[in-house]
Amino acid sequence: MNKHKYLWYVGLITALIISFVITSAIGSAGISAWTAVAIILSKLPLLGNVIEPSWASMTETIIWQVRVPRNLTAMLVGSGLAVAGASFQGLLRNPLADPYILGISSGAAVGAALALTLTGVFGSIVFGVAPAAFVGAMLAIFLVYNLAKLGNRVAVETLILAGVVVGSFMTAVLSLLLIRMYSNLHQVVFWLMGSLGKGGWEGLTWSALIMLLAIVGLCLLARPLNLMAMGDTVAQGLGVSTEKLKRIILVLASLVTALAVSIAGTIGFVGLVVPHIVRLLIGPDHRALLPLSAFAGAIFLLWADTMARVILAPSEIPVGVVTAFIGAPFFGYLLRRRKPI
Amino acid sequence: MQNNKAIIRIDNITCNYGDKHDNKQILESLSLDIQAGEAIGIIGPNGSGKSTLLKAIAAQLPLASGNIYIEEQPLHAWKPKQLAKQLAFVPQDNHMTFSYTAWQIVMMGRYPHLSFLESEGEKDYEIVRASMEITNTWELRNRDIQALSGGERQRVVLARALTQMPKILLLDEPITALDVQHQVEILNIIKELSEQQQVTVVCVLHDLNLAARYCERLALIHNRTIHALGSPQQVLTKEHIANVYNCNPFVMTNPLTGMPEVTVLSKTDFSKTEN
Repeated sequence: MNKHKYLWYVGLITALIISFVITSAIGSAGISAWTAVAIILSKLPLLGNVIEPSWASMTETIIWQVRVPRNLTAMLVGSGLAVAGASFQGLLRNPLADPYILGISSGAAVGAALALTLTGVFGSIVFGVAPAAFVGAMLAIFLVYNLAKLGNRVAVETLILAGVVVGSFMTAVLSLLLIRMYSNLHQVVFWLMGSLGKGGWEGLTWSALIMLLAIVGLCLLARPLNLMAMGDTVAQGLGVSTEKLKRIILVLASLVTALAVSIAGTIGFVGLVVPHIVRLLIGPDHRALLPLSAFAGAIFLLWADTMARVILAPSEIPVGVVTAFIGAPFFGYLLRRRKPI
Repeated sequence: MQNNKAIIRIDNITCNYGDKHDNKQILESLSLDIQAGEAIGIIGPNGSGKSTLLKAIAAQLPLASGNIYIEEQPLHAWKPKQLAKQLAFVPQDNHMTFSYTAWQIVMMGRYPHLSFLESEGEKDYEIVRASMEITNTWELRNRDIQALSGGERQRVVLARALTQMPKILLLDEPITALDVQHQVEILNIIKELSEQQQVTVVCVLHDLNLAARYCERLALIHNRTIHALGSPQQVLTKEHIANVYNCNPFVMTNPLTGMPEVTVLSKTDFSKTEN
């Protein structure tokens, strides 16, 4: 059984590397995958001296200054949303939980938009945006959880409804805030719908590092999370400090969501679709589910973003639209399916 | 009343249940000593507080007053993981959300014995296998827990409790939803554990006759406290049952088990025997 799992790791990491190279090459510039590989390799420490550049400097700029950082951002955001989704699902014992469906992404977006309105600047990700998004996300999950909680139980359907309630409210607040942003309304709306087009290398700063650490942190909590998926009472009986663990996981998962939103806007359904498929393949053990969802989420968003770039080329559509086109029907399918998940 | 050998000492506890709007007193000034290695059954009518007592022992309910001592140490002074090595709790409701395999569920019982990032070793695998063999679930190890029948799932959850290697096993109506043959199967496993491995068993039971057959001692809960305590013969008397269950019982000795057997009659049944 263990060897079986290693094969999934090997397979997904290989698929991720191949996807990274291919999606770096795909686009209107007509760059071959081999050129993309050569350019990426030439930037690596030791290999850089060995490889002779045989490409135009324009090509190098497109690959190295635009597509590579954009793809790295897509990978980070994709794995973050997938791991956050899987964590929410395990903790809330609800296979339909997802940062977007629970309204947490909208909460983070309100926080981010508020910070932008107050600073009045919409440039690269300013320092204040991510913490504000985090506060918004925490507020949203706090509201959703307490709305859905009846006694000690949080029912599957109630939680989704509470997410709809909080999400709608947050969206209304967001619309109100957007009215104040005459000058760059188009940019802000595009970002809110989910876009990885901004940033370049500058986007991958401290917030990316914190997000990576939070993802690793969630993966390390996989074993107690398995017990939490049995219910609070059982987990406590098996020696888990349930209240403490619940807080840590909610904070980490909301942090990941908030950072993902501040980097790339609200990209929905990644946290729903990816953990589901991974769970179908390898089972619900979070010790494999969380890290494998991270890799699968990275692959998923790489391709979703590539589709966003090329479907209506030369113009670009928000990647959040692509994930919603895939995720919303999938969500409907899960709702209809009566078989236990 | 205080006994130094008691593995569980319940000292004058009062328990309230519910929230601030609907606050009910469930247990009041209840004291009970449970000896190491004994099998004690908690019986009583619906809503008498049987399950509440068990939850209180499992540290899942705050006590309004009084104290519970496990191995002479007050419950709140135990660290969660240390307590989980002392006592295992088998809840009544075993709803499962995800498709873990039976083996994965049982392995979760090793959690209190493993440090934060320690992975399971040979010893843990052996303990899981032994627990699953005792409970007759080893054949189910690769099956999806959600696809198992109620009785099979109950046995898997019991196996998980055993892998905790507890000194005390708390069971909340472990057989209520089961067929008769599965009821006896589960109770036999529990009885063997108590007799052969000196595990202390505290078991909430609905069925008075099964309680009499499988428990050395019974505690009858009524009006928020212990109404009667002692051997099945001492507790299951016509008088106690008539008072507590507000019914018309007929008590005889089962010729096979030698234990009291209760038959409840309604007021109109067999009016001749009544007189």
